[in-house]
Amino acid sequence: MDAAAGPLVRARHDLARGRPDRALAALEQVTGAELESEEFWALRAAALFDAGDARAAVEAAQKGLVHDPADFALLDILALAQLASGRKKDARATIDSALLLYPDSAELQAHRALILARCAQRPFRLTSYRKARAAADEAVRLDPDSETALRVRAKIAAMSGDARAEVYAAELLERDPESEYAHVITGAARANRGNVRAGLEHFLEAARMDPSDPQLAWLGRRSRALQRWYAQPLLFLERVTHGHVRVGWVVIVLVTRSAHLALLNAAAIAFWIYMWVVHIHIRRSTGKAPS
Amino acid sequence: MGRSHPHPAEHREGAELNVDRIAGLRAALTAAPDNHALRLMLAEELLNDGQAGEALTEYDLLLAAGQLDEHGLVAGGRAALAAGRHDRAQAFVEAAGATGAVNGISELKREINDALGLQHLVQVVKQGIGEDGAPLQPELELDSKPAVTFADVGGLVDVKKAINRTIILPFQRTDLYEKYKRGAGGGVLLFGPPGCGKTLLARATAGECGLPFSNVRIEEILDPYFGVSESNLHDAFVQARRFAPCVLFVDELDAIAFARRKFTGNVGRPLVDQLLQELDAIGADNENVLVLAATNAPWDVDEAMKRPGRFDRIVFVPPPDPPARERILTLHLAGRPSEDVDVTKIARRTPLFSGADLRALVERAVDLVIDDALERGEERPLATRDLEQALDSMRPSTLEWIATARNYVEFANQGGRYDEVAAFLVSREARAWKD
Ligand SMILES: Nc1ncnc2c1ncn2[C@@H]1O[C@H](COP(=O)(O)OP(=O)(O)OP(=O)(O)O)[C@@H](O)[C@H]1O
Ligand SMILES: [Mg+2]
Repeated sequence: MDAAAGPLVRARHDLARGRPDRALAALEQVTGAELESEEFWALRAAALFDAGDARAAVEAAQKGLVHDPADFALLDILALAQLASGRKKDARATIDSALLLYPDSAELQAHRALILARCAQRPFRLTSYRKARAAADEAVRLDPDSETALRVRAKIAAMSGDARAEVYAAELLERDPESEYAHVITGAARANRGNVRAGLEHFLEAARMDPSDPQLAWLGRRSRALQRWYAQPLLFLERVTHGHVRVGWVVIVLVTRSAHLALLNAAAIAFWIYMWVVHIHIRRSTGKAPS
Repeated sequence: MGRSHPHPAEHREGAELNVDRIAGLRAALTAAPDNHALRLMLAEELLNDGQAGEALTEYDLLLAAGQLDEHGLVAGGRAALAAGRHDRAQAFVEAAGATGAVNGISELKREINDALGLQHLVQVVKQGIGEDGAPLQPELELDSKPAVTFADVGGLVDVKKAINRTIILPFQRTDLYEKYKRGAGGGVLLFGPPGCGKTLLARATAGECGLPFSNVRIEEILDPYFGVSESNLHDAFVQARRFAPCVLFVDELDAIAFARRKFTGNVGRPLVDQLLQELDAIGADNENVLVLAATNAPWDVDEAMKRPGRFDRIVFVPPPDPPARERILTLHLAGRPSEDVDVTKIARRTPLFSGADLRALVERAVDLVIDDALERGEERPLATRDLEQALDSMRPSTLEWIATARNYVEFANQGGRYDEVAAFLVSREARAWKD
């Protein structure tokens, strides 16, 4: 038997099999010169990011970049971690400089699209996903087989209510029917366009695929609650109004009121209250979304 | 491979005839050294003639050329044994293992063990020297006889029963199991939250049977170079077989046999396949290697591992219940100066604490007593209030695992695979901590 492999090997293995917690434990064992290697910092940053500690991931990636300012993996993870910790501007600067170094990387371009999409979401402004979509298309053009690029394109389409979202999501599902990610995007695409019932099935499927992810489990729980009888009228209306039931109801309430249709107005208000009761009940039974 | 067996009658017609045949075969072989069928006949003749050493030379050549089938490998092993070359015999057994041959191999193994004496082997392991005088690979942990037994494991009555049924009894009462044609084989996979005694139980299983314990750990298997991890894994099993009967324990099974779906790396899959192969080989050979494995994440273990003949018993090792906690506390308090500690009370106040947590609790309490001793110069025994004080700053380490398990029970309990966990989750203790 060869000499036992070091903790870096172990950490890489654990990261690849989706166990950032174990990877971090392995990295705790690293000593001496290995602590100075960019590989150590890249692994640590990636593990922290996967484990949901974006702030610490930013720090780790920056420490690694001190040793090699042009490291692909470090730049990539730094941008994503900055985005996840709410530093959109920094994320954008990081990904742009990374793309100057690696202009042909579909992965980086896809992550740039993600960052642009999040930058587009600003309060009190109309969101335009035009730039984000262009970046996602560019990523797919750079590598039509890149899993990341395809995912991001589908995700942004779903976020922006693009009609192609369902097609993109279906493509993802076809490539990997067991991908929880593909199910979430498909679910979101369908729910956004009013077909909540079908969307819920996909969310549930995603939770079944990976219950170890607390967010997916929460989504699954929520979907189950929405499938109960008391939520059915809501789902029906979502479908009829193509996902604009709340806005629609405000309009109805106002119109019936100004037209002095007292009975209808009362009915509309009663239904409005019902919607809120269901909403609050589901919220209470499934808790807040885990961060 | 087409080859003709010499008629048995021919061998008994006297030494001269044999000598003639042998000389004839040798002559033919000098003319056609690559004729493996001829060489095999020569080897068989030599073995039948009692010239084991000569036969072994021929078998070795055939082995090197990869020209031995199952039957030939066993015959080669016999020749080696007859020539007193245990190391070579072992080489034939290993070659048989590598090609997946089964017939007669376990019998040959037993002959090797008998010839050497297991005791001798265990001794060799202890000294860290292999049969051929070379030092054994230092990585593979092998206790000749673990000192722990089931008595050292608090609680877990059902788990102990399950291990006894599937592993210990078939080994100890081979006669009974053979008579009723109840195949032994198949390993036990222990799963549950961290620190609740899985590794301890595996060690204790070996202790119960008085067998050596060999621990396969991912750290010793993984290697960055292509193919080396697999060969490390193979070596670990080869070693275990060499020391059979023994208990082979695969710790953190999910790290070696992870589900392919989640894996994003490009290496790794061969490692899962290698483990499957090794398990199947052990199952087929019936070689008295008792296989146990443990994991915190059974959901991350490849489904193929759970098929019959591999890990067919999957046993939940829950956090200890109050009586078990009492027992564990008593075990860890034993040997330390203490004054009628109310373990029942402490056990009641530590729901969901793992065995490891309880040990840590005792150690913290001991620290408090030592602090006192240093401060005041009085060496008092450990008391209940020390444990209570230490408890104030502790939380069970099993909570995170339980939260994840709850999600699996809710969304991925196909075929009732986590029913045991589900039953535990609705227990009063498990619900008490639900936040
Ligand atoms: N049932 C028990 N009886 C006595 N001691 C126990 C028990 N369970 C755990 N312990 C103590 O906790 C220590 C850790 O237990 P062990 O290593 O067996 O846990 P494990 O289930 O293998 O955990 P992990 O999943 O983290 O590997 C043991 O060495 C022992 O001291
Ligand atoms: Mg263990």
